[in-house]
Amino acid sequence: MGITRREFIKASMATATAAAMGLPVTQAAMAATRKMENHWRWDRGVCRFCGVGCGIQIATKDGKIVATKADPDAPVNRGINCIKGYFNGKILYGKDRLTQPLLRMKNGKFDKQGDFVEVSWERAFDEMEKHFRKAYDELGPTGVGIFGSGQYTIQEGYAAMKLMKAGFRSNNIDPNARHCMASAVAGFIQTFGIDEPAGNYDDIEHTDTAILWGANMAEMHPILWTRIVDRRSKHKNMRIVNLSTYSNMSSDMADLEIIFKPSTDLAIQNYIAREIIKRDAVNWDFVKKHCVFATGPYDIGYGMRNTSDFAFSKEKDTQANQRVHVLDKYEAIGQRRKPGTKVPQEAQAKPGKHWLIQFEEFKRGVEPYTLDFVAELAKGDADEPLDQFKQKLQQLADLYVDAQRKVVSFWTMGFNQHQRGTWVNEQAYMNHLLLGKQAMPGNGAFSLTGQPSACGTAREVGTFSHRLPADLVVFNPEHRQRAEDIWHLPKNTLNPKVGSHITKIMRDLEDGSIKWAWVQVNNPFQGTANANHWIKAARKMDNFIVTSDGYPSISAKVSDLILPSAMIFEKWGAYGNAERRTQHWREQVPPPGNARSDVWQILEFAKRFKVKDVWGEKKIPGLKADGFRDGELPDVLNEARILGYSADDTLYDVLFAHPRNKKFVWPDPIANGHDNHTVDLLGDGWFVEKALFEEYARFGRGHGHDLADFNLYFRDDVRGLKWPVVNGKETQWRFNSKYDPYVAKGKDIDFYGPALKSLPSGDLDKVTDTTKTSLKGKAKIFFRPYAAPVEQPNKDYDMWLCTGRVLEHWHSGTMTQRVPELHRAVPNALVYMHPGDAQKRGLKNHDAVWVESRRGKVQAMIETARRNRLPRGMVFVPWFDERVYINKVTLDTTCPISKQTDFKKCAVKVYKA
Amino acid sequence: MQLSSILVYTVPDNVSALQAQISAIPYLEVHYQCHDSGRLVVIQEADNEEAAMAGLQGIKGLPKVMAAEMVYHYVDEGSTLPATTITGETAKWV
Repeated sequence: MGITRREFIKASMATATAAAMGLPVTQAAMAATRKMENHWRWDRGVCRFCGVGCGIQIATKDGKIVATKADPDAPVNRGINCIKGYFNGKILYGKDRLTQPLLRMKNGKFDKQGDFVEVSWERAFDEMEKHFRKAYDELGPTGVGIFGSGQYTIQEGYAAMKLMKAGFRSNNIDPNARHCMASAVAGFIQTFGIDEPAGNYDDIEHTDTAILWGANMAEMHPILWTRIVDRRSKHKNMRIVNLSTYSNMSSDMADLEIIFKPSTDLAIQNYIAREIIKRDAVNWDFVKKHCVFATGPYDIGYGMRNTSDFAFSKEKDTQANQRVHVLDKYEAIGQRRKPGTKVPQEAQAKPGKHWLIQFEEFKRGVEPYTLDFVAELAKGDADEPLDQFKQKLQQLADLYVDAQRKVVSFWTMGFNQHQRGTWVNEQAYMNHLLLGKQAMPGNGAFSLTGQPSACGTAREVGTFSHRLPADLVVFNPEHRQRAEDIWHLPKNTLNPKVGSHITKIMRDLEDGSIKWAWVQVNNPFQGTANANHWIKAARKMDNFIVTSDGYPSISAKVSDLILPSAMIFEKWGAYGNAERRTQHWREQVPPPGNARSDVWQILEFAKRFKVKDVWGEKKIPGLKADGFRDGELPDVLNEARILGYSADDTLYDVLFAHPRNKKFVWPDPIANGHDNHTVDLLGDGWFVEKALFEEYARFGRGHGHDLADFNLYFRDDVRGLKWPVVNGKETQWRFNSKYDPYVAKGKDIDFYGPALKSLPSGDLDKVTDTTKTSLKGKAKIFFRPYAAPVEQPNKDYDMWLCTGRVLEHWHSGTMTQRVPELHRAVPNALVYMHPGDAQKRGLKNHDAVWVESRRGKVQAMIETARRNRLPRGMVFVPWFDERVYINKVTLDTTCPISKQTDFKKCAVKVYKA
Repeated sequence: MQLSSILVYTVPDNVSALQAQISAIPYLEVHYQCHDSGRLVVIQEADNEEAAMAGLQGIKGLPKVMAAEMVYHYVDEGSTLPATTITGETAKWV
């Protein structure tokens, strides 16, 4: 490129940036900029990475992305990018992009111990089908599984979920989002009866207080953090609090930092509730009109296997707690029992069960959580004076309680990846509801998400083992009927028995109850805790694992078949972010080689199965449901015939390419010159992504989850819309009559979510009156006690391990590790450690160490300073780096209600390598 | 070869000083500055990835810089994109 052209491009980029940010630019400069930009095709897209959902502009030329810029008109990011977002254009172009299916082979035949050999798509699907049929015929619908994703486009998630649930009649589809926000979901459903936040990101510009609980927003949600910091600089009353188990980048801008011990957030929340009551700060007008009090059992286990048959010998002591747990002195106080009590974990089967209690009982529940008790329990930094910690807790309570002050509590993985994740989510609402600071601009407990479509796809589409779209669940007969009606399925096609959650799919592979699995848009073999078990299961057991990915991830490498996927801007798609905003994009560039979209892969696979293969009688071990014979799904082929289906129709015909979808024809003017390789390859002329979106949207419209028409999202002045979208208008704050059309007439606030709104009553310990009371329009204020982590440091494993992310890398690093700038910025995962702990072990900064738990060990370099400052007794290791495979070390305990793994706490030892 | 535009936030009375400091860093040019809002638009030209990251880190390390965000990213149409291939212990399963 010549000097003159380079100078011209530089001047134009500067002008575009200045104009977008409102800096004065001349008309001549703007004209020159337009001239340069017109040289390329521009369109808008959404960032591939986190749950914030920033808008970007993409320039393409000759089938390649040549430039990206933050979208100045995007209300989320307002013209700026974080460092990952800035590199969206480069993630497609790693040298080792997968472009051809790869099958493990020996002597021209599939062999589980063979090497990967390039094969055609036809050959790949033949093998995949053969092994699917083997597993399905032997074990039935429960013998197969899909590892889904919070990074699925809406259409991908919908297609995968429909193929599994309506086609194969299996509920064994569960997303990596289970690891990410299942506790948030359970918290929403239990508290409000409907999923997803009331508020939106504009809460930041309305509030006086941002309280971060286990959310290092400076690194994980950098654009929202920029907005918080900006609010702090412009609004003199704005305060920022960072509650964390170690000091991090968010601490640098915080007015108050509270370092607490793992799991003691449960106790701190109860301390705040106790203070609210003690200071007579309960907003009784709000509470009486809109809330009830509730509680549930404590003996709910830890989400581990109930048998030690598969545990490594060193794991057995931790695993034993699953059946019987001995209360320590803090739990005893917090649960009003005697220390040393052996508590059989008897409520494991129904851990989410709950009942109404009176306010007096609630008050009795939080009474033990005095300042003295909580401070002694919760202080996380051994070097901090107790009095100083107490003062901080009081200041935190002051901020919440101040009637003049608006408060937003933000959280992500600190709360969600928690053995009592559902409880601690409920507790966040507990305090906001007690104060009446919920569902109003600048006031609310706000669950942030990690992944770009954890909300939009995993949750709303319902790619979980218990869900159907728009909050419907498989175990509810009316919900199944609604889905069967929309999908034109014979009655009782859908399987009422909840399938395996993502960690259980791994366990099922290990014990042979699943023998075929498909990994889509995620990397579960790097991302699931206690990974040594699962790698062995993949490689040693009799099973067949398929991974679809853009790059050779760990999951791809332990699979039997690898399918090359189109990446984000190589396909049409839509994501839904953490503020309910749905954003669509067009295909910008063609996928490389023979890489193809996941939608195409799912639909092509569906062509290989006929109705008669799947809709006959099927065994489902353990199924018990009204209208079903025990352990069995009925033969629905007769009714299928009545509905007009032939037994020889393929699942592609019946589920996807049916006449209702085929009326969405391709080409469509909305494409505006953009291609669609999925449609071209299917070759039958229907606009797959539009049809699937519109079919899916039927579930939510009129039910509080309304999505707009597909075309509206592409209008020039639209940058995504926050559902419910009613009469073309998005909803800013839900449950609030000023903003939400679903609020009943005459009410100011209406918590109208329908789930779990009829409950028996009791005291703190049990149900005493089984008569059910209706809670229409109300939210629940839960009492939940402190519970200790199931594994704690001892003399053999003397430190806590916490895992998480870093700013520069996305999840398992399959994309960002391949962008040289990001890779150079943070080339490997480090073990962050207190300098005193290093010294005690004879370690110097940057020494190589082993981090070892009961389950496995990894080697990495220690770092005793920089962005994360750890208290004594804890290390932090990020999980993006496959060479520092930290999930070999972590513990697969989950919140028993949400089934979300706790990646934030287990016991390790650290020693020189 | 890559070009980036970087939006830099400082305090209004520091704009002139910051302009001089940034201009002294190789590969960086200040194209726009706004004294009222304390913002500057910087263009970075980098022929390798280290230079690309060093520029942003260099700006963030200057006195009174409140934030620096990359906004616009251009990759020379004629060049192929460099990228890393990670190799790890998982190679043994392949």
